[in-house]
Amino acid sequence: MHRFANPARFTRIADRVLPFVAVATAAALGVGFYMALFVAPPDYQQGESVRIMYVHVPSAWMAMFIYVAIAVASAVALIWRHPLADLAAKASSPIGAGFAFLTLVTGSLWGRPMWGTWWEWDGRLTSMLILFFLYLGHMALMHAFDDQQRGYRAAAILALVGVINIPIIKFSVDWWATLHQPASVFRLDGPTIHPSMLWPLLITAVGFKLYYVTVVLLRIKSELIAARLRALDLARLKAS
Amino acid sequence: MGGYAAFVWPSLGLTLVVMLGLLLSTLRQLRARQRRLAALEAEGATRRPRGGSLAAAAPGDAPTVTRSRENERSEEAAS
Amino acid sequence: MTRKRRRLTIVFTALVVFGAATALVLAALDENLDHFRSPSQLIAEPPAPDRGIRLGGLVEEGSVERAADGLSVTFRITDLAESVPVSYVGILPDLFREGQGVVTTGSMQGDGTFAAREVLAKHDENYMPREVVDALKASGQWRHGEEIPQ
Repeated sequence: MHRFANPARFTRIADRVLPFVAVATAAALGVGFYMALFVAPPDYQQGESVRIMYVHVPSAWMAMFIYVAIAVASAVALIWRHPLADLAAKASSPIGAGFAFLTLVTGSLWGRPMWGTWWEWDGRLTSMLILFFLYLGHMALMHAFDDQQRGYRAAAILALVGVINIPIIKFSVDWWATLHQPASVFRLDGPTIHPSMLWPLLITAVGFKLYYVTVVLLRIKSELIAARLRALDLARLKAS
Repeated sequence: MGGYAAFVWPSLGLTLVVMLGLLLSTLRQLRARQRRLAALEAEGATRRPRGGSLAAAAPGDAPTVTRSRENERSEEAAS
Repeated sequence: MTRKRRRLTIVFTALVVFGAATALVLAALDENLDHFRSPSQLIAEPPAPDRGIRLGGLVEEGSVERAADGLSVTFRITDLAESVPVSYVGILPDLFREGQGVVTTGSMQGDGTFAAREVLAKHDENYMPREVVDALKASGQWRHGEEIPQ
């Protein structure tokens, strides 16, 4: 991984990879959304409202995946002082926050007609809300200090402490009698979702993951340029 | 949409708005920074050859320098 | 605003946000759906009349009766041992149907019926097109409704 430590090399590799990832993202999302809206059958209980699931579930997966990615990057940054790790964490949290937000809102839009409530303080919903707040806190801490390194360190510690929330989200539906239904895809006895609905879901989920790769590469690239600009400004300040 | 149009379309729409918005703001910020860097380079503010590490452009930036030294070390170790 | 003050504000905001998050956790643990009672519990230990409680279980098959006004509905909630009559006025969630798991909030009335203020329907983890369900039912492999929610 340290091979990517050199910013110039990282940018070179990112530039080479980005066109492919971007095209794949567009293709997967295009096919996925089309299938979700027009091909997938209505559910026997939920009717057409099941289509919300195709954006809700991938958003939730991404919100959790990105948080774990940030936690791993934070550990790498704290332990090995890898210079790109902090930037990867910084570049990721707005994307994760966006997906956590989408999870909450689309879940609410499904819950109103199906459960009969926009919101319920149940274990799954509350722990997802906490994840959203963790993202906001992470973003705030990144910018909270004049000394950037201190901000990065504080945010990294928050990310590592908050990672405890991820298993809570995942297992909340098993630990508590939540209103939220148990897992349908990742379960030991196999998915309880019909293939005609599972495929559109998986394709959309792949699209969401590729989207994250695209945007995070662009954002890390952007952060590297920002770091260079800051260094140049500093050098000019010293020279004058 | 079987009576659920008021719930399904906003869900899909909001998802697209958030994803596209984040992508566009990322691109805008990247372009702005690239333009500024290009302008500085044209002015000759970058006295060192391009393609170096961050520290090459920031002789006085202590934390970056420490970090770049670690990069070199690890790169040596890797090769 | 000076930088120091800005930093203080941000750190303070972060603290408030985490305080709020912690409060939410506590609220959730205190008020979560674990706290609903089953019909058996309700009958074994009748609560004080008009005290707000939650009652959860399955909607008994064949018990749903809708009044002519289209809003009032009565049904029975069962845990397959005991059942409690429930009355409710309002729009039911779309997942509400006989055999479905529901959680209601309300209070016991003097006549032994449970007056619900809110009815929430639980969804299970099964996602299937209608035709598949029909096919499963036709071949006798359909097991839905046999599970008793805890």
